[in-house]
This record gives sequence, structure tokens and C-alpha cells, in this order.
Amino acid sequence: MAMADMLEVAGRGIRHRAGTHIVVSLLVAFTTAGYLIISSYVGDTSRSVTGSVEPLNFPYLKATVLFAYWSNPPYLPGEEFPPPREYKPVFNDAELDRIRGLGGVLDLSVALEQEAFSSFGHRQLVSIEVGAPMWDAINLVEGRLPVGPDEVLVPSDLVALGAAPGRLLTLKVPKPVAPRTFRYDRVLVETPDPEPVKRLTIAGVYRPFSSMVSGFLGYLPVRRVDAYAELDDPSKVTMAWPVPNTIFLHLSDPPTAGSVWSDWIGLYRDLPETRVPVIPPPKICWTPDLPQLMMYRAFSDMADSLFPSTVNAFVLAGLGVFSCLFLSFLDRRRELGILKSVGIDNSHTAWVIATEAVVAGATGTFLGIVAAVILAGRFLIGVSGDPIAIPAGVIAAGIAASTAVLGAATYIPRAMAKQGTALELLHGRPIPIFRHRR
Amino acid sequence: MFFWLGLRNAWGNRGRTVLGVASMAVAALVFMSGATLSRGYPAQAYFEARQLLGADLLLLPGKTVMSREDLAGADYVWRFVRKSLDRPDATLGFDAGPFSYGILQGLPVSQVKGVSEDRYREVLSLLRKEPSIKSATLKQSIPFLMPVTTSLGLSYCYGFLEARDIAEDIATWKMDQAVRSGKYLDPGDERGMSGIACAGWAGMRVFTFGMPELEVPRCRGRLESGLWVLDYADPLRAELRIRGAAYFIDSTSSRYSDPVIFVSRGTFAEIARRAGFPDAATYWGIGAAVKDMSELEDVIALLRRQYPDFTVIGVPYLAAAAGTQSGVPAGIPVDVREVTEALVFITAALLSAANLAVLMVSRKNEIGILRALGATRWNIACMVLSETMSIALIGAIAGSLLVQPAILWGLVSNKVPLAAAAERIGVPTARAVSFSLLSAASFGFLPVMRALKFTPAQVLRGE
Repeated sequence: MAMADMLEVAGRGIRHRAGTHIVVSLLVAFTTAGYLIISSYVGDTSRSVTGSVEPLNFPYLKATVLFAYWSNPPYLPGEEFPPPREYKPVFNDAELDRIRGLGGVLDLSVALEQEAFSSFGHRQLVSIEVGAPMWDAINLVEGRLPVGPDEVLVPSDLVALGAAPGRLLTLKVPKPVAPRTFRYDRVLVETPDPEPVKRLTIAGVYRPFSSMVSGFLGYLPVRRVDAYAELDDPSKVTMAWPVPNTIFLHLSDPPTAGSVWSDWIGLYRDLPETRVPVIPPPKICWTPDLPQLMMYRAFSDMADSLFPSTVNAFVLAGLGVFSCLFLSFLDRRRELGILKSVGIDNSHTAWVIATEAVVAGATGTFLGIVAAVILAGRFLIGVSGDPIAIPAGVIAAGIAASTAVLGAATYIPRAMAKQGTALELLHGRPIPIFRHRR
Repeated sequence: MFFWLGLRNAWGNRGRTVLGVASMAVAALVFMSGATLSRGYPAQAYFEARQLLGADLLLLPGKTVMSREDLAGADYVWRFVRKSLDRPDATLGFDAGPFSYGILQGLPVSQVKGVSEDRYREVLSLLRKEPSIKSATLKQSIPFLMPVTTSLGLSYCYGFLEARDIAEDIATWKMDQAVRSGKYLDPGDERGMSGIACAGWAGMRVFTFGMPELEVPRCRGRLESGLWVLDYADPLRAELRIRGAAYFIDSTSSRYSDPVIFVSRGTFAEIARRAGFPDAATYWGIGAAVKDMSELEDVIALLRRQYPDFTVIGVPYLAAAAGTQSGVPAGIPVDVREVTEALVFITAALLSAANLAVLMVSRKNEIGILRALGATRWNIACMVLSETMSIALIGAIAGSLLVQPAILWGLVSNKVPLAAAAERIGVPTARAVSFSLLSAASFGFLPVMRALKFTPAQVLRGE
């Protein structure tokens, strides 16, 4: 059967059952328009809300890192993980060079972060390693940088409370307050500070450039651990206090923090038979785009309930399309049976049904897109206060979804049109959807 | 006659009828769940967590969870902050993330510095007048450091004192047995320096029946930014007699805990006075108990709209977060229950109608003969519609009945009066049945149109 003949048969079918195909088109149009408008509204709202987030102004990837690789063997109740091929200590020059060499990393600073309580209330005490590049980023407004473990910098907002260079400051460092956990790991074992009361001299005052580093800044001497040679149990390895627990990676391109983090974790791929995800030394991280990420997650939490409704709507449209096209197929069984009896092959017969569905679906999709663009652009206002624009990506997704729904909804009528023999079609006998051919 | 004929046809095609009934039952089940179960909880749900917090829901100052209403008004700037341990609250034990990792907090663009003391009292007063609220209390806490000497030397544990209303704890939170057995504060503790430790917090070891010395910071005043300045270097050293430890473990062995020592309001006020804390420096939120837990979510939704300067959070939400260690979700899902219910009903009705429309093909002869015997189009329509609507009715009733045990449990456990219970079951059931009949009637045109296509002549010719 020539393509032209097939199209003519299909066209005649559309004309004779115009009502059915109009219903199908309207169903598809309604669902597509609804999807486009809701998706675009959600997108507009998401952008507005993300725009109300204060940037962190912190071009670093900050991570809580244990000194020894896998010093907290991960386990879930009832399970045990096999050990890796090799244990690696993180605070070891060779390992730090590997991390420093990751793409997108300008430099690396080692630090120790603790909770501290003083006469100025609760703040973080971040002791940065001597010679670390991060010291260059500190905006000193008075005094000098600390040169020993008994000195500290204070943030400029404490000046009004009497903080000044030369003044003595007593800091009390408690045990970890809120035990930090990593998802697949036990509570992180943190080395206790043997000097919970610190009497420090204020060496200088600095103006914080970000809320991420806005507490007390202390001095951390360099501490390293040798490579583990043939070590079975890294928990037996000790490290002289003070033991670092934080690494700052200065990023050349802060928006790529996520890929730097992935690359860092990817350094530890040598774990045989390990449950995914791999449990790496860096446990918890803060990235420069954290506020935007958290806002996106909050918004996703809010919008998640819309997804089932969208799926419901597509299911409903699919059911409606299926009903209409299947009933249309039942109406023209005799016609299809006659076509087959004069020699039209199965595929072309099925294509007649498919063509009608494609025409109805394409018409409906087009109408839905036009309706959505007009409604959203002229009658709806987004949270941003502007008319809602429907992005090309959303239109493409809508077309893909309606195509998928149409394909699923028309499968059975097409299959039956293809599988049915002339006798089955002519005499109303049951037609299998699948036929085993010998 | 044609009505009964429709019913007989439904019975005759039991397979397809069951399919239609099942789909409508699912729709009714979803509807009833949305209208009743999702509104709240049985009376004893998460009771241990509620005991620990002394509330069914909390109003925390500021915005830490985003809701749809926040999107509508662009009055907030969202900033990443880490909650300070100078202002501890009991949610620390349920979701430590805001204190240890950080959280996104919405700050008013108008630069109003947090919630004032007057505002706390105003909201407390309004809550106490709310019909659905049983009781409301201001939540107060003061942080402390507890020096502990071990074989490894001196170390500090962090914790906080929380003021508890002992009468409220006995009346509402069923602490009477614990009081009688000496495991909780009793009214005699109003004037003494004694407390009850909360067991189970890994970072704080409090020895039962000991007298730890607590270093309570002195309050030195308030900055312009609104922050209270606490001096831990020159603390008030307060000795408390720990009379016991309170355990909050539920039936699933979930343990709820906080680094907290409960003290009476009198003890708290005395320590606060000696450490220089004005009342406003100790407030961390408002806790409220509802009269009917089966309506908790509705109450929370109402309070969220009424008090946008507070974050209203239900204790079951916190308890679920503590159980999964996943943290409290940062956004409140948009309520689309009504849309879901409508879509589910329409889907069920369409499925049932399409099913019957296909069935009409096999009834062509029957319909043709009936028409030949004088049945009108209206008679045929009645016959088909009675079949569709009977399927819808049976399905709606079946779905509603399936969910009744859970609904009844929720109502009985909350001791809802009989009249109110009847209304809360009857109204959604009636609505479910009405919606199912309406959707069946609306989509019933599909099989009706199909049935009306068959003429006696076509049937007699064998077409």
C-alpha cells in the first residue's frame, strides 16, 4: 500500500470520526497546556525565590575531614564492610598534594574547627594551619595575625563589646555538642581537646568576608601523619594534638564546587566490594552555592506534591485517549478487515490507526502549546510579578510527555489492528494483542 | 424495569464490574484518607516525643521552613546561618543540622529584629483563645557548660536548662506516674534547686542523683543586632540536685533525647535572675497542645497563615525527622489533596466508563432486540446509567469502609464526641459517594452513546 493511499484512508477515518478525534485533541491539548503552565509557573517561582537568597561570598569548598582514611569503619546494623585495599591518612603531605592537584582548586588550607564559649558568647573557633593560603584572605583591620597557639583573631563586631588587641580571652571548648553523623557512617569520632580551657591573647581584629568564617581564628601548628605501611586497623594510629578536622579548598571557579567535590571523593575509588556510595575521608561539605542549593531543595520539597498530580493528569489523558481510539477501532473493525482481505499488510493497517492518533495528538499538542503561551503570557502573573514565559525546554518536555502518553494509549488499538486477521476483524472475533507466530 | 436490567447486567459481567468497583474503591479510599487521616494523628502518636517537648506543635521565631504563603509575599531575604548555642531549643535533639551544619533562615526585609517579648505574649494570648488549642506555654531555656573531670582530665559538656510547667506535665503529658515514682519533677520542686536530666544524649553525661556544678553564662545585655551577649568566662556556678533521669522511648524503640535538664519554673526563674537573664533572653518559642490530635495538621496549617513571623512545626514531623536522621524538610509541600482527589475520581470514572463502553459491543444484540421490542433511547440510557452508577456506588462504599477502621481509631483514641465523630465520618463519606456518582454519571455518556448507536435493523441484519 502506498503511503499516499494509507494517508487517504487515515484522512477519511479522521473525517468520518471527527467527533472522536476532536475529543482526543482536546484531551491532549488540555493536559499539555496544564503541564506547561504549571511547570512554567513553578519555574518562575523557583527563580524568584532563588533570587531572594543572599549569596555566601565564600569561594571555598569547606569539608569536615578525619585525619585517617576510614578511621570510622562504616557499618549498618547487621552488616559489615570489607576493608579497602589500602588505608590512606589524609593529613599526610602526599595525600594533601593529591587533593590540592584536583582540577579547579587554587590552594588548600588545613584547619581545626571547634565550638567555643567565651565572654562574647558562643562562636566557632577555627584554627588555621600556619602558612596556609587562607590567611592571605583574612581582612585584618587591627593588630596582626596570630603567631602562636596562644593567640587569636576576633571578628570586628566584638570590638563594640570591648575586644581589642592585647586583651586576654578565655575560651571553653566542650565535647562535640551535636554528634555529627555521616549518612552511612557511625557518629564521627572526634579527638577530644586536651585543653578545654584556653587562655588566649587577642592578636588582632579582622573583618569577616563571609558568615562561613566569622568566629575566632586561631593558630594551628602543622601536624602530619606518615603513610600507613601494611596497616590493618587505622583506628590504632594516633596523631599528636592538635588534630585537624577541616580542609578549605580555594576554588578557581566557585560554581564548579560540586564537580570538585565529586573528583575529591573519586580519589578513593580503590574500595573493593564497597557499598555505594563510597565512604570517603571528607564527610560533610559546604559549597559556595549552598544557600542556592538549600533554597532549591526547599522549593523542591514544596513542589514535590505537584508531581503525582501531574502524573495523574497524564494518566487521565492517556485513559481518555485510549478510550476514544479503542472505541474508534472497534467501530471500524469491518473496514480494517476488508482492507486486510484485499491484501493490505498488517503494518500498513496499523499505520492507519497510528496516523489518526498522530494527527489528533499533534493537533492537540499544538493547540495546548498555543493555549498555554497565550494564557500564561496574557492572563497569568508569576510570583516575580511578570507574565509567565514558557521556556523552550518545558515545551520540549511537554511534547515528549504527550508523545509518550499517546504512544502508550494507542498501543493496544494499533497492536490489535496489526495482529487481527481479516476473519477476526470481519466477524468480531477476539483479537490477541500478542500473537506467537511459528 | 430497565433500572433492574442494568443491575442484572452488572451482576452478569462480574469480572468487568469488579474492575470498575475496584477503581472506584481506590478513588474513595484516597479521598477519605485525604479528608480524614491526613488531617492529624491518633491520640498516642509520637507521644514520647511530645512529652519531651511538652507540646504537640511548636511556634519557633523566624522563618526556617518555607511555605507557599512565603512565596506569595516577597517580604523575606533568605540567609544561610548556623543557629547559635546561646539560644538553644529542644529541637536540637530532633534535628541538630541547624546548629551543627546550618540552615536557610528567612529574615524580614523590613529589618524588624526578630520576635519581641511583646509579640511572644501577644501570640501566647491569642493561642490560648484559639478553640482548637488546649494549652499554650512559652518555652524557655538557658544554656550551661558542665565541667566534668575524668581520668583524661577536665572536659566540658554543653547542655541547657528548660523550664517545665509541672502541673501541665502531669495533666497533659501524663507524667503523674513518673512523678509518683520519683522519676520526674514534683510540685515540691518549685522552690528547690533540683532537676531531672534527659537520658540518652551522647554528648552530655549527667549523673543521676548527683549534684553537678553547672556554669551558667551571665547575660550582659543585648546588641543592636538583637543578639544577647552571654559571658561564659565569668559564669554563675549553680549546683543542681539531679533527682533522676527521664527516658523518652516509644513503642518502636525510637529514643528521643536532648542535652537538657528539666527544672521547675520557679527554679528556672531563680537561676535566670541570678545570672542576669531577662525573660526575653530565655524565650525560644511557644509550645501548644491541641484538643484533638486527629486535626493537628489542619491546626498547624491555620497557625502558619495566622502567624507568618513564626515557623509552625508539628512534633510528629520532628519525631519522624529524628527517626530517619534526615532532618526536617525545608519546604512544606503544597496542599494539592483536593486536586488529587478530583483527578483520582475522574480517572476511576473514566476507566469504568471505558470498560463498559467496550462491553456494549458484546451487548449489541441485546440492545437491538430491546429497541425492536419498543424500548426507547431513554430506556436504554437508564439501563446503562444504572449499571455505571451502581458500580460507582458500590465502589465508593467499599473504599470508604476500607479506611473506616483507621479513621475510627483516630477518633476514638482522641475521645472525639459521638456527634462530632459521626459528622467527621459521615460528611466525607457522603462526599465520596456523591463525587463517585457524579463522575460516573458524567462519564456514563461514553457507554450510553455507544449503546444508543445500535439500531434494531443493524442487529437483525447481523452487522
